[in-house]
Amino acid sequence: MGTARVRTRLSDRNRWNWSSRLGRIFLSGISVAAALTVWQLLSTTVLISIVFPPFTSTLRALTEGIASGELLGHLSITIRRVIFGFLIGSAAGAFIGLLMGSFGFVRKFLDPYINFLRFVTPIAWITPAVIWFGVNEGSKLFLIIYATVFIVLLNTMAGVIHIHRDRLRMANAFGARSWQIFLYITLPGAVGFILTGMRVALGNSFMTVIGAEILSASSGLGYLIYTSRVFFEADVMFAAILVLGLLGFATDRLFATVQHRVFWRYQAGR
Amino acid sequence: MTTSSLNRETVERLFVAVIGSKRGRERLKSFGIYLLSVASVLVLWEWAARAFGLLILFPPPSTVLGTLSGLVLDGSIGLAALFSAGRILSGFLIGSLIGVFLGLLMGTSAVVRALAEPYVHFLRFVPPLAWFAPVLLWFGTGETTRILLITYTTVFVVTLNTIAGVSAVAINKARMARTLGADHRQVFFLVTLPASMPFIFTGMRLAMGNSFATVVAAEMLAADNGLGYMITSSQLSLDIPKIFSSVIALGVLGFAADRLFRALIDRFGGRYTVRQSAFE
Repeated sequence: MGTARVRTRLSDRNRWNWSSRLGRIFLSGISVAAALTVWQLLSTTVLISIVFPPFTSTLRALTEGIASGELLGHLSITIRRVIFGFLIGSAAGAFIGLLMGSFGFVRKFLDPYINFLRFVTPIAWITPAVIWFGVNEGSKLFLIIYATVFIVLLNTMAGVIHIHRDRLRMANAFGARSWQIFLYITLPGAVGFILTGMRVALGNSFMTVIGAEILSASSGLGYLIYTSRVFFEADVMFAAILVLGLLGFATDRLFATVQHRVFWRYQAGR
Repeated sequence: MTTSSLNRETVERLFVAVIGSKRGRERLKSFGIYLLSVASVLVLWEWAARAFGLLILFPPPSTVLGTLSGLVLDGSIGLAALFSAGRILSGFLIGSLIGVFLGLLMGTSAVVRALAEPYVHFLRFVPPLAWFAPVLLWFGTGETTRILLITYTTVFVVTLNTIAGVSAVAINKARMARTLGADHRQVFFLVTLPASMPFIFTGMRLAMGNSFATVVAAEMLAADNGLGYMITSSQLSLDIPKIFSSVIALGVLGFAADRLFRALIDRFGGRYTVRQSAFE
């Protein structure tokens, strides 16, 4: 019978091979193990290990940094900066984006600035930001908000504009008031787009915070990496880079999980 | 026909074109709002700068425009923009090439994908600037460092978008090509590659934006020319109008690069852009 044949075909596909789930994990594992071995061998034999530290000394630097609390201290400062700037920037971006999406006048009025400023990279503002908001947290917060706001804003606006006209017409025909249309149709329709913008903005926030911490800060992972250069502590640098990659990966996964589990009703384009 | 009557005719035609049609009126209205927007913000900025009284720290637009026109006329800002653009272009092209190659390999072969995936997914979350210190140790403060960082910025975005493009190729298209007797090579070059072009272009456009961020920071930290250097060198003399001018130049350069890229896609990549097809 048809179903039986489909089942056999499916089980055929689940047979163990390189493209099955297990096969892929196996290959990825082999790949990582091989790279770590090559890294270790190269840095202990061919390369100068002081500027190209072997994997083992990177791990040692990592455990020492965690044990002494230095690495975790810088890490928590960086995370705090990103979270505050990211949340404020996202809120502002969503708010302005909803306004721009809903009112043609606001959209046209702000359009020239948005389309100019989104091409100016956040880091370019660092000197004015330091002069206006001080060398402390103020300037970093400003830069991260700046890095977040435009992406979220543009996505929110796109979300509002993409709402199907028939939905608005239907609500109108049923006698919904404009605030009801906004609350029950526009806002839910834009949530998916807002979240997509926020996820991209999160990556940009990390990029910006590291730049800001390298250029003007006395704490944070960016600062740690850059000052380690002065003392030729390449193993500390590598440990911090390892932490940064894991942190970025973890936050992105966390965001994706929240996006799919909590806001599953509002997937973009539904 | 006299000149005055010709002029009158032209004016009348223009009047009808702009005011007479609905679209013309809409356009006029949009233009009016743009004008109002730019004018009101400039006036507000000028007023605020003068009201605060700290003209050195928060210069009014008149001062900034004066400085900017001076820098444009003596060619220094054009030269700085040229240096930055050259760096972005070389790093961006190398990075895009590697990204497309890697993405096509990872997209078509499950084995390559499984082998390379851990690195791509780890490295794409490490901001390019985090590599600045190690790269400085390895390659010094020369041009290699800056171009390498821009290449790094570009590679992963392009790779991931290329993989997405290859995975999004409608399976029926590939099947049809196979049915018509195409071998794997032909399916790749005639179906997979053209179908993933829009994704590759999208990735490259995103990467271009990120390259600007990297180049500015790299020039601020280690360079003696370029727009980023212009910002940090003006910082010492507290020449804020010059910093503003560099920022404006960066915005204009970014905007122009984006428009140019879009125009290039429209001109040369038009046949690859997404269109509804019967096979999807």
